[in-house]
Amino acid sequence: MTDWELVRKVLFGDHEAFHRLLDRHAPGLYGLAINLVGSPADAEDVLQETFAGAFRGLRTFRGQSSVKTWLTQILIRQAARHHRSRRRHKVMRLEQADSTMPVAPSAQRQADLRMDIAKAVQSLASEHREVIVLRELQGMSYDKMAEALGVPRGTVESRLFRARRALRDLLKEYFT
Amino acid sequence: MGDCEKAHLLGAYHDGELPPDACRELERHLAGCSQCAAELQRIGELTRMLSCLGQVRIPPDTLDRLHRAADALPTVAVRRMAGVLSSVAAIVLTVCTAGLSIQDSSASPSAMPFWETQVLSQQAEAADSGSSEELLVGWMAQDLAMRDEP
Repeated sequence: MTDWELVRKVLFGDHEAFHRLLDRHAPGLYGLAINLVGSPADAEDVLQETFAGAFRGLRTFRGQSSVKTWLTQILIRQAARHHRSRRRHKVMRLEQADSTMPVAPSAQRQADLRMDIAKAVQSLASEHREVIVLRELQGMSYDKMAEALGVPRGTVESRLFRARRALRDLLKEYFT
Repeated sequence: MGDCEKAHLLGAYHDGELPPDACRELERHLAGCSQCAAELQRIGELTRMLSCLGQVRIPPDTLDRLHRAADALPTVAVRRMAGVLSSVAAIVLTVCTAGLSIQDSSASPSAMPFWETQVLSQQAEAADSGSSEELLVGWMAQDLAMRDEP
């Protein structure tokens, strides 16, 4: 059964069809969510908000994009919202912790490349993080990215150009 | 050192998103521009570094919780019915309110029809003359004519 058929069934009150959509898309979206917000707990929150938003908005879904792209659009919005609110809390925590935390990078940090990359991705500006995650981690084409982000393809290209530069600056110690 | 004017094309070239003609042109440029060749190498290196983040699998218990959260969402049918019912209720309320306000304004003494005021003021005289029915019809016709006037 196609996604569109499942959407129609949900609109006619078949809640089981909504669970099938969730089974079909949650695994892929979870990867995207975790790369956009950083932690499994936050990714789960964002994913839950995404499916709740999708459920509320099902009646307005006209099938102009695929269900996957539509869910991706919702998830990106939810992740950006989540990131904004989390950043406000984080700034407060960092300000409180500044006096006690060492600033020099540790040897352990050098060893844990994966953690550093994840951190660097999280510290990018939202619009940069989105294009890096969609392209580099989700392998999305420029056209699909433009559709998911609701921006022209040229904007995707210029954002990606700047995002790669910014990420490289953050990870410059790994570049020889 | 500033960027080469072709630097902005390197990302799309690396991602396989550049049209074939532009690809060929850029490849000719890369053969003679060490700055762009180095930049392309760094883009490739970044992609390889990012690939270490890999694919993330959704934990089964997370999926279970998402299903439970989905169960808590109200069904579309109920939501639709609630929406329709509230719309109908709003329309009925609006119509009733409008009806009541019209009724209130027509009940005021100043809005009493012409023929009624004539009946009240000349009732005694008309009764004496014995032609009350003719008078009444006349007043009513006059009243209707006054209402038709803009």
